[in-house]
Amino acid sequence: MAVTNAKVNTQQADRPFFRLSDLVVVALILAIACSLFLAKLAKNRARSDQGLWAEIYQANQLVARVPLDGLALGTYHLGDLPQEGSVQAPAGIDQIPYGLDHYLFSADGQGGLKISQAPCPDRLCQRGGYLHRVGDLSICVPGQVLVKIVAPSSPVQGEGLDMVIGQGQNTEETTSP
Amino acid sequence: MKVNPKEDKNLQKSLEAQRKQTRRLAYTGLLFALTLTFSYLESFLPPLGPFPLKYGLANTPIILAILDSGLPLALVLTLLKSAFALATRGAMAALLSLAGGLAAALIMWLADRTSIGKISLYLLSAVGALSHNTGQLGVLLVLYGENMQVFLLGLFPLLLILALASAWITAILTHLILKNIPTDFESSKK
Repeated sequence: MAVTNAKVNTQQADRPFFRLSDLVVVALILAIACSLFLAKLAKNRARSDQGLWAEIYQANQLVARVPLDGLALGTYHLGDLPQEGSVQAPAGIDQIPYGLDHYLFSADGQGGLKISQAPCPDRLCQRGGYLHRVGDLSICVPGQVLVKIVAPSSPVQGEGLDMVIGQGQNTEETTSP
Repeated sequence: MKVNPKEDKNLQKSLEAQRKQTRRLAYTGLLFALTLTFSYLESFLPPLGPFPLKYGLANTPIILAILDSGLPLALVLTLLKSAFALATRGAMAALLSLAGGLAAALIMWLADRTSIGKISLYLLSAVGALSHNTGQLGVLLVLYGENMQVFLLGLFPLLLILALASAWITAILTHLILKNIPTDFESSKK
């Protein structure tokens, strides 16, 4: 076909690329984004950074709670981390492609924790930095592993969701405003 | 040999119908190839956090499909894009691609229809990118909202800003392609 001599699709090619009125929409979206971001920033700053815990979940079930204060620099298997209570294997573990024994967690010695080794193909969770603040999360989607930093164990208003955990445990759900 | 005008007219109609069908098939194939190419190139960009979220650059062929043929072709391309994601990146990536793609295709089509074709390329791309990211976020909230509502909602401002940025690139790509599509690939849609 004679592409060089062909006419272009003039109707669609004449469609304007950008209009000045589009700036209004862009400004509105930027304003919404900045407002949400600043609100989140202000909320995070209001929280204490002392006595934080890392909660480790698999398949939406709490497996371990790790105190971050005094957690020494190093790399740990789940069983090697100092924990509250004992490690609980999640129910339905056969359906989970990667067990927690395939994961390694690293502490930076300054109250930070992260997933440093994961068995999943993409390993996106390994690319994140250390988790330090309440609400920080690290997630391995294929392995359904979630590491979340929470405030000291007594529930505090506006701390975000408390988890629905395991069988036979009291659950309490609060949502941050 | 004397040609019966009526038969000749029917033959012409039949040939034109075949030509349109072939043209549509070729154009669909071209758009699908573009979809796969952009999806593949997009996979080299850094992910948005721990999820296989994408920026929406692969919306360019979807926009072309909407501008040219309307919603059905856009939906087909979205399904094909998700199948490609399933084959290369797994079920979660496919689900996010499908959710984002369907939301983007539907909202872009609605935006084009309600504006009677007057919406600018950038705004159409921005609408698509925003819908794409919102669709992906919606799926993640459904799947993980119990544990991650705060985190996911905290990701939303970043997704909004990235959508505006990626819309710029998508619009430029769409504009360049539209300027160079020959009429042999032009849709039969009037």
